[in-house]
Amino acid sequence: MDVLRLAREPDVCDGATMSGSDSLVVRARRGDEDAFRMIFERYARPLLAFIYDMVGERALAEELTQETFVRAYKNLSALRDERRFGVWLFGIAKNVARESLRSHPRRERETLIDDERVLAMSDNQPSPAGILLDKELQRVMRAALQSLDEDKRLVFILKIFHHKSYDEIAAITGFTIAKLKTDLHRARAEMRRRIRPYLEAGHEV
Amino acid sequence: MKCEDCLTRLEEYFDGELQKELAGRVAAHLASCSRCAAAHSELIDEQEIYSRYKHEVEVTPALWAGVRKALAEERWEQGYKKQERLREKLISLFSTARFSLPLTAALIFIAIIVTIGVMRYMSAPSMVAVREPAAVEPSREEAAVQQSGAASEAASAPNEARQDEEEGNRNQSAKSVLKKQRRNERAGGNETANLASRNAARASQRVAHRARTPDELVREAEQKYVAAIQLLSRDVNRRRRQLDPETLARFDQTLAAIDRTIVGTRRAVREHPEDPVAVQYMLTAYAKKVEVLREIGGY
Repeated sequence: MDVLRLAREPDVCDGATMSGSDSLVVRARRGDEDAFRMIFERYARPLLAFIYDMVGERALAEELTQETFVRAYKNLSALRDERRFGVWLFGIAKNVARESLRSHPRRERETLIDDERVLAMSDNQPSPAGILLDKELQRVMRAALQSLDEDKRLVFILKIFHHKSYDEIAAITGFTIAKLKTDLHRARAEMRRRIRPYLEAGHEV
Repeated sequence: MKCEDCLTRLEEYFDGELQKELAGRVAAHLASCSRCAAAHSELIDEQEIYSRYKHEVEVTPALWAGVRKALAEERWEQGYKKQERLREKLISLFSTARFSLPLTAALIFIAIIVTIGVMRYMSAPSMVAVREPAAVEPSREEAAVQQSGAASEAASAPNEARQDEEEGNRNQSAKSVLKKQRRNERAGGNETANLASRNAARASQRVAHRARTPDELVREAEQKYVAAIQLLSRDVNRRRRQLDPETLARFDQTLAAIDRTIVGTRRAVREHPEDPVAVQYMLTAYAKKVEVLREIGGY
């Protein structure tokens, strides 16, 4: 079960330094569909999570993830350094998500807090009080994320959920280090203000 | 380190982005300052909360199926576009007489060059024949000089030889030629020598040209085309599988038509090797085949 949980963790799966990614990219570039399938299996979940956090809609996120992989496949020949594939792929995902956000006017996104399927994915069943808190936390976190402006949300997601370094975030977003540090600091402050009650309650549950 | 400095760098420290020396100073400060240590603990607690956030996403088989389908469509579209471009080019090349401007210019240029070349080589022997006497003129003068030398020797010994009137006349004319040459040498000096050397160079060039007859040159050009066609055909055969049946059929028809033209023009050239028009048609047919193969081969 721990293995399953690790496999779901974005930070474990989406690293550009993961061994074999570069050789898979070389094979995929030659038209090897199996290699591209393996790349998909490695990166699909972190990318889907990243795009979902950016756009806030599951169906749209799936569509955009698909678009990201297709765009990546078409532009594999443009990738100069296979070792930077993960960063490059997140850069494409960022572009796809941003284009979608630009083309579709921002609307208040309904967040589904009673998703039993998601809760069932957890292998660490908390107490009933903990479940309620987790549900509420999911809702608050999602709402807080969507309230951040686009740049701050982008930087916050890449750092906090995907554990990218500042250099990687700069490469993905095109921001300067100074800007991304400022955005990250402000995003943290804003998120902190929103989840503060859960910080205290979390200790009690 | 002051609290202010520590708090400024605290997030970078927490994110592992500080250099080792600076990180050490922040760590030392955190160990001795409860206020900064509390801020650091708050970051740790936040991170713990964030790690509990579930993204509510699941990669389903349908997602890969969608990607795969899109990739297949993409590949098909690319292949289709490529074949369409090829088909359009073939159609524009062979279905009508409307060639594109660069192609027309290239064909005209090739035709002119080939015609000029063939005509020039075919007329080369007569040109050499006309100019040859001028080129060898000095040697005649030399002969005259030699003859006049012999005559003067004869004059100095009247008892040894008798000369008839005709011979005397020849000697006189030889002497006059020699005199003229000497006058020219005095007047021209080095120019005459240069002219002679240029004449000799031209003569040697003509000799070199004469070494290869027009027929040989045509055969040489033909062999080069045949070699190029063999090489290109090999590449094209490898690509045949990628072409759709319709394009392939059109391509084969075109090549068959060109081959028939080549066979016909070759026969005409063999029957009339000195006919420049036949040669031009044959070489143009070869050039056309090379062009079509290059097109198919994606060069």
